[in-house]
Amino acid sequence: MLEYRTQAFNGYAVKYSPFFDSRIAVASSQHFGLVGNGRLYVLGLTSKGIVAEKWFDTQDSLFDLAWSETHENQVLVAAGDGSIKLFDIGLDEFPIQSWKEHMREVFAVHWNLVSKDTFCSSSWDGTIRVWNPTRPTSLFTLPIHSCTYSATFSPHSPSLLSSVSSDSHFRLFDLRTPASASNHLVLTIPIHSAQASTQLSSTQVPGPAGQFPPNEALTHDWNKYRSSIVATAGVDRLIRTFDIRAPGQGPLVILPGHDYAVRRVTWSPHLSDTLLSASYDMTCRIWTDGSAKSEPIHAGVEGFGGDQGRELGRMGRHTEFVCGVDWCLFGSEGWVASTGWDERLCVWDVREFMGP
Amino acid sequence: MADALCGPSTALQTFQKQTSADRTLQQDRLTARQVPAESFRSLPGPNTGILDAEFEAFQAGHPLQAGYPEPDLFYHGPPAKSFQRNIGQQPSPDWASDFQNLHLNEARASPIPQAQFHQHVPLQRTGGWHQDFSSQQDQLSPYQPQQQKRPADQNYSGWSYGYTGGLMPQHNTTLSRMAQQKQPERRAEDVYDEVAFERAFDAAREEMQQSEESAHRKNTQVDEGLHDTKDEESQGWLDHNQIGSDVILDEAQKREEEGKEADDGEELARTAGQLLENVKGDQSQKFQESNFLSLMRQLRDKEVRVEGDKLVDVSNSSFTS
Repeated sequence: MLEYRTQAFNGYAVKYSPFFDSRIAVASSQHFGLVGNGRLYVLGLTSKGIVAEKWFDTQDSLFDLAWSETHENQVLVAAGDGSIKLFDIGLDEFPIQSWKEHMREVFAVHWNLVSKDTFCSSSWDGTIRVWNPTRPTSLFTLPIHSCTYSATFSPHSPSLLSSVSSDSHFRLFDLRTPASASNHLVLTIPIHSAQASTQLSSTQVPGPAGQFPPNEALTHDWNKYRSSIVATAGVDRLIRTFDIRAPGQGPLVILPGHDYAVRRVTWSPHLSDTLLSASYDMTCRIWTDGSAKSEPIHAGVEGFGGDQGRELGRMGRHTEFVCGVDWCLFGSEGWVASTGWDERLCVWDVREFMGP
Repeated sequence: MADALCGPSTALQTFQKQTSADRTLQQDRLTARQVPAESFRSLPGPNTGILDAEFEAFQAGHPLQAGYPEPDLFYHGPPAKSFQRNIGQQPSPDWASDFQNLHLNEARASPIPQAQFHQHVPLQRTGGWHQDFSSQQDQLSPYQPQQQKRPADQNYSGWSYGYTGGLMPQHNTTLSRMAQQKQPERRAEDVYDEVAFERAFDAAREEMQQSEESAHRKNTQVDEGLHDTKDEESQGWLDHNQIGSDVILDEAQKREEEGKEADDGEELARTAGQLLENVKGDQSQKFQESNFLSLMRQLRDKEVRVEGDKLVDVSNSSFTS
């Protein structure tokens, strides 16, 4: 495990560069994001450990970041004052572009992984905006009417965009549909909906007929291999997976285990069934959703599988809320980075923390 | 100028000749002609050919009228077509002589009817000569017998009279909509005897003044009514446009203002208290030693206050996050 201390700044998000296996960016804020400045770290993994290659200070707290998919030196950050800034790490101090249209804190930015010419942002003001980095204003706005903590493009289609928000709903937007009264909204799934009876699992959380009260959803991610599968998580401490082809059947799998709200969940770029989560219970956990039972996976994880999803391991090194995790795209499939409010960035291999 | 005419022609001059020619009339006609070419449209539009007669007359140099008639708002169906056919059968120059045959004799016999005819033109303020004609006949009902004096081949005007009479309410609306259009004042002047005209005009001026005013007032009212509707429509459209994100932004702004009114410190202390309440049961070492939770405790107990961009320790001991 490698560590880097983001002195006086509490980490909110971490992302590996899609261009270099040794470059990591961390978005962080002073005073846990309550007040104060933000700082974007660009860190390099070297033989001498993690070193800061560059950092940019911002006026307001930073809550999320996204690497440009078209330019290896550019990073987007989402700021607490409602602005989105694009930094070029070849330059000093100032962002090369700044967009200010959101009225409240921006909680998520995500680059379109397929067409690579747009990115989206979501905000507390209840909107998602879609942007082109070369344009000074947003391309269009998708109203959510609820504080939207997370918005991402599908990694499989340039025109599918999804979000989860405070109202406990997953929304899917298809930008190919005409911009009518529905504003491209094609699907809404209540995250707290009951599991279909055929999906009842051993991990089913006890409750009256599988019912759950609505809870704020904080994060979601698209599976990188199965294009219709998304995972969501939030304040109710449960990670769920949904199939957008069957929105009515409820969650495919429910993964209980975290003691507090789950702040971030992300699918492995290497394994179709593996999830990584970061939580306010100060742990990161590795999960399988049980979909890879018959697939021969590499030797170290023969114990994978089972009919249902389960926790594979947990990393408890962080001493404050963990807010950001990301998988490394390069090299062997287990490397991840995590950051949290303990002013630490940890780079580690999930296989070290997985049980037998 | 001599240079331009006699000197060597330059490309720019040739181009200027091309562009200075006014081809708008031909272009209008050509675009209108394209409509029937679309095979799936079995019926030509209501306005097809409505300008043809006038165009022919214009090309032939006849002082027909000053402006285009505005396209008729109301589709009159087959009657309109037969009307056009009639126009074709009766080339436009003829209608002026028809008028002469009709009214001029009477005008010479007695100035009053002719004066009425002339004052009627500003009243009508219509662009289309046929509408002028037919509606004039409508309102000059005392002279109906005179129209019957026309030659038998003039049946079209008699026919259109009945047609207009049947659709009179609609026609009035159309006329008022055409009120802005420049009216064809010069139509008959050249033909009529100037002296007789002047005399008739003076004689009838006072008589018609009142009715003209009232008619004008009526027209203005109708126009205002139209404008009112337009305004309402446009405003309604604007209101409609403000949906979705705009409304959200408004709400967000309102919320922001309300939030500023409330005491931020109290709010933060309360939130911190709630958060601590939620983790109260957690006795793990990590939670006991958490900097964040200790900050929350300080906020709850008002030992730390948010001032601008900084956290200020109120209880003297210096604060570090």
